[in-house]
Amino acid sequence: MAKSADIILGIQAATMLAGLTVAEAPKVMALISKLRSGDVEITEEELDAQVAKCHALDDQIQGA
Amino acid sequence: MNLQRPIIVLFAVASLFAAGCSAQQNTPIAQCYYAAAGLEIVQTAILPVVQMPQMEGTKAKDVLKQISARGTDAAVQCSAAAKRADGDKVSYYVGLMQGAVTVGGQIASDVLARQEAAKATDTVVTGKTVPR
Repeated sequence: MAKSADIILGIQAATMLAGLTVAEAPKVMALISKLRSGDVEITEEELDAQVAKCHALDDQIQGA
Repeated sequence: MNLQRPIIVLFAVASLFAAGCSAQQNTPIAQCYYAAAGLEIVQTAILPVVQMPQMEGTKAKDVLKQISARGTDAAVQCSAAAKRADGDKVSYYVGLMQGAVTVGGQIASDVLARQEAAKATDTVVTGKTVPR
């Protein structure tokens, strides 16, 4: 099982590279901040919002 | 140097790390959330691939669409299971999402790598990049 520090390093490495071309960096940075702050309590609303994002992307993919 | 392939692979790895982190927290809602976040990242990578003109009518496009659909369905089911605090079902659906993240990311990555290789060949033969 990866330790929290390993997780943060892995995500940071991905973010540094992705920041060059992918607009996902802010989202991943927010995740890092959350992990660092220890505020890992996820609410049902946050989960719903995340699932809704997946749904919206899937709609675009199915329509492509 | 084309960075798309390593970016997708690294994002897939990051997604799995995120899911692993949620497993450490052992909270069904958090497990679901991080797995869905990984799925969203890979869907972001899949979208431009399925939108490529040369992908029309290909098997890879159909497979990527199927993977996205199954992953999204797993996210919805996972969310419902997490709200019921049904840990076994959550683990099952998180596994499905991780599968979608790994396989979807790999296929999208391979398609992009093949496209780059084809573009490089065209450049060598004709001296300029040929639109496909």
